[in-house]
Amino acid sequence: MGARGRHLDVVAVLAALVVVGIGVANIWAVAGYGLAVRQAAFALTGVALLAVLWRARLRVLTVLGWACYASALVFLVAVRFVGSSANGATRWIDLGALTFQPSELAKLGVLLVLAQVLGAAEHAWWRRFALAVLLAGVPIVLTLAQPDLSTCSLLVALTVAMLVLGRVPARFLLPVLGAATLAAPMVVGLLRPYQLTRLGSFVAGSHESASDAGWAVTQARIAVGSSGLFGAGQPLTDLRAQYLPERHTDLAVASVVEQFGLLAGAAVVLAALVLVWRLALAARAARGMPGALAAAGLAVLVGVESVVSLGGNLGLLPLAGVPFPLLSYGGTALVVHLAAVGVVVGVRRDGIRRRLWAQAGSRARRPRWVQVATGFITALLLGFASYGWQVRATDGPTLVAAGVDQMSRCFRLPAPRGQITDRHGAPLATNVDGGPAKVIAVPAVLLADPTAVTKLATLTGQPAAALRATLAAVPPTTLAVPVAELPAPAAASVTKAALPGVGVVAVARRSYPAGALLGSALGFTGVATPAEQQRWPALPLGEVVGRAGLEQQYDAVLRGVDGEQCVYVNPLGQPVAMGPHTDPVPGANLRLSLDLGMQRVLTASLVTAMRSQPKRIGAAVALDPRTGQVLALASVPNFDNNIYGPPADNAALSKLASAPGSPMREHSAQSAVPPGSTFKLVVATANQLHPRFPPDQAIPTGASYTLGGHTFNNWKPMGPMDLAQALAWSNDVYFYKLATALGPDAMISTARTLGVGQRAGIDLPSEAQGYLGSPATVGEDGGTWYPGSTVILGIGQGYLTTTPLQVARWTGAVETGRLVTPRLGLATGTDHAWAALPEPPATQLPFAAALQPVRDGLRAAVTGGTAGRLADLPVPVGAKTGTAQDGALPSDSYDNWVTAAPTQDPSLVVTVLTQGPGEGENNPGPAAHDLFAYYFAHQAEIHDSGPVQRP
Amino acid sequence: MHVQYKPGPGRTRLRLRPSTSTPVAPPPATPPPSSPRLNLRLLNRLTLLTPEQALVIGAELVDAVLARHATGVPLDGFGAEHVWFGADGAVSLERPGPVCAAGRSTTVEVPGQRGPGHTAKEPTSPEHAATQADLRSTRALLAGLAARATHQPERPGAEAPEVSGAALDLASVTTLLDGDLGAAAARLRPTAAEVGPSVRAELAALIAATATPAQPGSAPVTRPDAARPGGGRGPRDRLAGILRREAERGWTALARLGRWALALVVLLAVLALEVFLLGDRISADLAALRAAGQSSDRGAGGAAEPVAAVAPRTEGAVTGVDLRALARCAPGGDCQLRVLVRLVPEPVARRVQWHYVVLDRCSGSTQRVDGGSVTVAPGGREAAVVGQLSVPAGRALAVTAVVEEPARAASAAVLVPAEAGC
Repeated sequence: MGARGRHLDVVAVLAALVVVGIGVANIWAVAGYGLAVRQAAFALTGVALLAVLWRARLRVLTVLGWACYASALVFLVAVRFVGSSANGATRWIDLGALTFQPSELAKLGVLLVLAQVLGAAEHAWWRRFALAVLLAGVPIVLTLAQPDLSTCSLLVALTVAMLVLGRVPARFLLPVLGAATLAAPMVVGLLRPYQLTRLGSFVAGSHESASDAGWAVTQARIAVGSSGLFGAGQPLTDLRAQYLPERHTDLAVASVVEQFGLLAGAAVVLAALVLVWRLALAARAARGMPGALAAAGLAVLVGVESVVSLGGNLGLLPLAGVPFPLLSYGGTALVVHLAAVGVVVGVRRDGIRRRLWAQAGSRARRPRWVQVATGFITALLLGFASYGWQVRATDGPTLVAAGVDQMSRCFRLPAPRGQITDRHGAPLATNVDGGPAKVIAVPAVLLADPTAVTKLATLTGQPAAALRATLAAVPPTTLAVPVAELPAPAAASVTKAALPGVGVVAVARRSYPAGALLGSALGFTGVATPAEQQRWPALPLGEVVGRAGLEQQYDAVLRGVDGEQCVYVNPLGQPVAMGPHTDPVPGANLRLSLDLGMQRVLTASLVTAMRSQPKRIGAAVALDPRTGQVLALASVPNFDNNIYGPPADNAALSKLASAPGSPMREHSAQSAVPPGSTFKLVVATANQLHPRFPPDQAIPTGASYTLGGHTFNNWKPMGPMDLAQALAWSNDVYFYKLATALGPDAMISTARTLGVGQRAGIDLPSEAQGYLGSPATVGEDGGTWYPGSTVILGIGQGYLTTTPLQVARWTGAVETGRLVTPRLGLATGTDHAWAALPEPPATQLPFAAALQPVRDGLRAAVTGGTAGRLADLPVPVGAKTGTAQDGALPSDSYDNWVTAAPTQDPSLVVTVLTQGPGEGENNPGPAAHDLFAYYFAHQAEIHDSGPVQRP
Repeated sequence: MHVQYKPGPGRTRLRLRPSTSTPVAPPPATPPPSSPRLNLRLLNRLTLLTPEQALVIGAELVDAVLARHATGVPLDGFGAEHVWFGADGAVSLERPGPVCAAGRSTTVEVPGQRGPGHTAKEPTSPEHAATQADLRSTRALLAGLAARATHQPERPGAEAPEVSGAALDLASVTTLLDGDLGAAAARLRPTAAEVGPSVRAELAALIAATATPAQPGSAPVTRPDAARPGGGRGPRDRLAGILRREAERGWTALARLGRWALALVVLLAVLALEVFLLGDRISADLAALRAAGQSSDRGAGGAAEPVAAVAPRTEGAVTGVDLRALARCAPGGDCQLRVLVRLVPEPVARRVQWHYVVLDRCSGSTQRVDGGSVTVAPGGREAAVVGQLSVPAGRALAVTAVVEEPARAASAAVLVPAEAGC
């Protein structure tokens, strides 16, 4: 290289060419070959201009500056009349195949003209300052009128920079600064809506503006955060790039990082920094102030453009629409910037070659604060670049996930529901294996492969044309459409074919092998209704959930975790490729405390008892009074929950809806009726807590009891009896007298202690609470508590209804001294791990030791009283019978009760309710007897429910 | 190229106007007595020499010394002030008074005056000693030229920087001067011949612009500013003038400070007036700005803290953790939660242990609540457990199950209540 060649600032030119080259590569990657070639052509033009201007003499450059300025003004004016518009702005002049943006030319014109004016030492400062402001103001106003706020802002920044660099005295600059301070609050009102949105998005943060201007910043952050060191590092880069708006203009830096990696982005920033510094240093080499100002001004302009663009890309500055110099697409800007670099390189060359003309030492007038400004720009660029690196390091995984998430659309793959079994694993609710399956297709993906369409048509047994028509009939954004429902073997063939855009989804079928045995207790499943949606806010639409009974109660356990098949979509929402597939996770199994054998016995007995009473209800519960585990739970009438399908048996459902006796209600927990004489256990317990009649004192009774002119009859005339005898024979008069002696409060408080009128807490939805009135509550409800109300409360009538579950509960409490919470759920898990479900703790009765006379009465009822039917059981039991008048029943029908439990170490309480005359087969006693007999015969097996862990 | 002086308002400006239309005339063989001239010391003060200029000057300086020695009358040492540039840019070597020109210049006999470069050592042979003194002076000047041309400290014989081949040539030549001065001249001549005309033209233009015509017998120019036509003043004079004027106006530092403070007060007052008069409009604009920044489809949800993951969703043998409430839970009450831990099947039994983390989304505080553990038999793929949690009080809580064994992983959060804001 000769002496002249050494005057070329090779470093600056190379730095510029590096940025240009990466920019062209980016445009090629994200916008295609055509646009890249176009940009390359502009780059060649710019380089040619650079080569020419580098060798031009300063006088030529002076002329060039004024020519640029003048032509820019002419074109800016012309834009208002013949300009082309886009996005609400008129900024371009259409030259056929090319468009020209005069405001970019104005940058070069203003730069060179201000350098001339401010560097002209022969004029007074006020003249130079005024002329500079005037010259800069004209293009600024014209640019603002387009409107092009970003270029206008850059021109303002350039002008301010030139004034400062040009050593304009503070007495001129500070008033301008003051005026700007005064005008700043009013600027917001002058912004256009889209400008306001951009600025507001920056102020609020992109997370607050996810669908407006913040979208672009979010996409830029995703692009940066998803990138690797040398490239995107992620699959589907091309698809992801489509989500980045303005990727070849305003967000070109983010696009470069996304396409070529962080190092490429760093190279862009580094090259820009080198260019800025070389331009700034060229100011030192210039012979005179005009050249030095031009160099320093261009350095600041390129630096500010780089900072604003990079900051906008990273969300650190408002996305001002400022393209990155030399990198972003834009012919005019590229040519002008390269030409400007050529000018400055020429200034430097002139300064070096004609150094003897330069003033030396302190007499040399140089632009001020060039190095300060360049250093500040350097700090900002390096800081921004570090932030970008940090974004990838800290938020990278999150941003990658966000990027994948936004281009993924997934459809659900329903998870199989868990099984419900009895305490020994006998299935009570399960799934139908080998049922039909739906074949679904992603139309856009499948149609892209005609061979696959033909093959799928063959596999599904339909004409290819028909299948193609089905796929083409839906909008291109359709995620999936069902194209066939096939038997399991045929569906397996489709799965095996692994056709693109095709999936097989099993159709959920729930089966209840026990049929009506536990219909109301188990409940059923179905597509979630608004009620379920409210209960489970995160439910996807169309999810199958438990809608009644245990299916509903333990839906969170039984319902699995749905899988999903994702599809990648472009920004228009059109599927372009199949995404990740996640297998569904089956729901956990639920093991109940029920013993299927006991359940069959109890249900059969109850059905027999109710056979002649089709419009009445029967209910029975057998629970372990030590733990609350429900071993059998019978309800008549009941229903076969298989009718809910799918497919649903509509006829059966319709018939069920109008069936008498509320078959869908689990009557043991959900029906409350007067407990009748079974309540005498509670009254007797109250006597032990609030002693009125000594238990062993015989109280005269008789055929009736009269109080206040009202006579209350005994169910049959009886003589004097103590407490146990009165319980054994269910002596009403004894309890009339005892109730009167106790008064309502003692009875009611004791009843509450034993859970009367309260939900038992069984794990079934919609448990009935029953009713336990008191003088106060009855009065509050508008009723009247008469003295007779107290009397009849003694025999379980009046303001009192209870569920069979409550009766069983207090019976067990009397026998064991502990009040338990009935539970149906025993454990959850799989064969590899069964974990016990939480058990509410039992309530220890503080007066348990005082209840022996009551227990004696229960036993006496069996050995020589109303429950003699149970006397032949192999284990001694105590029992209490009851017959209650029920206003909801005809006069010849009653609520007939029996509640019983072994007297020693009781492990079972059985309570049976039958509505009807209570005679013959309608008597509840046989049901209790049969169940006890079965239980005592299989007690060990029944309680052996397999290992269960307690977490 | 020509140079003209154009007086500006209140001061004198030097304006260089390059001209390519008028070629530089070849320097005359002998400059007229009235032609401007400049010595090397002043030239160094005026400008920074390019490597090419330094090379040409050095080459001509060596030639001048050789020419002098060829006459048999060495200078006995000389300094930068004895190296003169004529109006043609050519170098001549002289003592005060008579002139010894190199190249195309004529040589004038110099009386025995000694300049700053003169060595005080008494030679054994006066002629030889004078020749050696000339060599030392030449080496020192060439080293200075090379150093100045590359912005390096003046260190004779130091290695020249690589930035300039011309400077390298010049610097390397200094190492030859201990011996054959002719070899040094031969080394420099080719490059000097290549760039010599343009360099001499540049020097000539500068000399024409800065130097006064040399009058025979007059002293060299030592203050270029003083030589400017029109009585231009230097920066020091201008500064003195400014201070004098300011002193005349009575501007003290305190007064200047007061003026700036007053300007600031006025600005703040006007700003306050603006806010007072246009406050409503400004507030409306700012409200519009805030509103514009928020997404149009953004819901009116509360500002509860987002729930940050306390552990990865999958880790090691744990392929997923799922947490569900069995029923709607409320703060301050009991809540039954189903914890489903999915595992990579292994042929050994494993213990699965977990706890809960309750995040108060309003305060950001977290609370750890014990969970439990179960053992999964060999081959097990999952552990499903229903746990009971006493939910602490709070307006918007988030409960997360964190598995501790066999690997640390966390579920997604269950919000309690499901829809809540702070």
